[in-house]
Amino acid sequence: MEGTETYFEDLVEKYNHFMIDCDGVLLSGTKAIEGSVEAVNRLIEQKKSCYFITNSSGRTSKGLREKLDKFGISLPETGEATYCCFSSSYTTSLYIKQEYPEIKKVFVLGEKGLCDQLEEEGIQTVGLDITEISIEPEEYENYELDEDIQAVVVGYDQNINYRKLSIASLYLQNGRKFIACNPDMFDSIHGRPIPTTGVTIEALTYITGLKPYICGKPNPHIVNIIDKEFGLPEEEKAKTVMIGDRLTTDIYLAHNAGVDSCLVLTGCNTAEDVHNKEENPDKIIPTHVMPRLGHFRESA
Amino acid sequence: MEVSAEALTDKYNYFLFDCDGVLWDQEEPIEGAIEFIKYLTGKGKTVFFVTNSSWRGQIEVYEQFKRIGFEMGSEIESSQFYSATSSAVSYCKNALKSKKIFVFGLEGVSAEIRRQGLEAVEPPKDYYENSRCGEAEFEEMQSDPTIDTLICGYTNKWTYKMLCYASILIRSGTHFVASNIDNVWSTGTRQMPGGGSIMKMLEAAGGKKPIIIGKPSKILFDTIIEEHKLEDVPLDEFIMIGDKLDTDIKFGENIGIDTMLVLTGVTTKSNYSETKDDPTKPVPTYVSERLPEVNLE
Repeated sequence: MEGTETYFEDLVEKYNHFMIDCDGVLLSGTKAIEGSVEAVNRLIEQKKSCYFITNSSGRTSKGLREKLDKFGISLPETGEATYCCFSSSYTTSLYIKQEYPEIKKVFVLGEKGLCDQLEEEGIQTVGLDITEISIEPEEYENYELDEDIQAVVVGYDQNINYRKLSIASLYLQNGRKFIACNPDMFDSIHGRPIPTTGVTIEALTYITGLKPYICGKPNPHIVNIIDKEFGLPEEEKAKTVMIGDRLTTDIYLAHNAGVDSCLVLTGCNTAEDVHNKEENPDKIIPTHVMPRLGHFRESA
Repeated sequence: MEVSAEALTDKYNYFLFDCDGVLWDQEEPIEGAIEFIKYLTGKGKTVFFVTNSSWRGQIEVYEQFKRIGFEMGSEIESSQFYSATSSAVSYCKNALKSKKIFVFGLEGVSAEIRRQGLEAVEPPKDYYENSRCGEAEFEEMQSDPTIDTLICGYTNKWTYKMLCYASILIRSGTHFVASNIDNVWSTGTRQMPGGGSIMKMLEAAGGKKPIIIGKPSKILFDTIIEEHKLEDVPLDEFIMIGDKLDTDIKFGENIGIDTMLVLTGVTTKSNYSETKDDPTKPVPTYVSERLPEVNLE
């Protein structure tokens, strides 16, 4: 990292497209992080395009927009600039729509938000209403597979149980595509890890020997998704920055996509973590580091 | 390489058998199995039954053996049956000094724990009836500090809330023991998630690897040797016969004994031809389409 300190104003001067992580950048638990709301509002004022990207799959894009609104971030409709909320359910739905338009029906291990988002993109979902916990060998042996179901989509699912996992593995063992929203093993609830998508992926991979295509961070494909949906030509990529608090998701995404990155220190990683082999195994150095998103020169 | 029954009895005195897919398929004996066991005992050979079944204890497997029609002479006793469940509990009791064990498994595990004089804790009914676990609920969830061990085995009845609780137990330092690593088990023509999928799930959620009791871990073999006082028997007198490379054959490899893969269970003629050149897979001493034919006259 160079000796000169980066301020928010420097980012505004250099970039037109801002990909912004939510938890640890804008919000910490139920509170907005100091200066974040102001920072985003300045970006909106300056007609910068803003893409909010979270690995959380429980909400739809609209649901994420509503959440940000409650914190005082009112995103305008896309016009001169693009404003879009990419919960990983939205990233996943667009991925399927763009890359596999023939997929019209999927088996889902996920919350209502993921199912609603898929349905909005014209993809029928099965699995949300499974309430039974168990399945017996005879039923499994004779279970009739729905020929129209062409993929298994895995996200955060508070209703995950043996029955749902078994049916998902049956579809995977019978040639269906394996797609996941995010790789994370746990989310943090006030510092305590709660199991999420990655745990289900581990179980399904162990059962079937198959690995999923993971749509969420650090997969750089989101930049292609943004380009296809809203337009982000090659020359604009040089004017794009990804701002996040986690090296292995946010910063790696930027690196993989060939765009600049800015690590903020209000979430998962510290400045020292950049040189820590465990926290940064691929040794990617962020383009910028700021103590927080709302690091304004005027208040220095 | 096919091998005759005589060749086997000339070479080996102690035969370890996996059960599902080798001797029986659910409640049906596999062709030639009953005859082969009878042949071996008739020749004065010692047989042990080593199953990764993590929801049946020693007694349940012995009962199944009798029920299916394997003839019981005075040669075969329940002490020759080793289920991963019974062995897991013994291990917890003797090696870990466990007193209070949380069961992420079926009723057979709790029964075995109580049979061995320890306290079993099952997930409360609420974990099945209100199986979701959101932020508020998770914040309230506390691990019971009096629980010293968690045993996981096959269960077809787990929920997200149970998973959350197990993860906080494991992360709080509770001993984590797995009785079964099988990724799948056969339902006939299909394969259903096995006890190993439970183990993987808890390993990922808890951030820690378990102590594995079931095959391919040596622990079951060490228990047999200790309980039957076979410390002085050379290892080349033993053979392990099973239908899964990653559990049965690997088990034999880990112990240092010969093995025989039979293609009557999870590994079939067609899927074996796909994996046999895989350098990461264990190589059986013998491969046979079925247990050797015998003449019982």
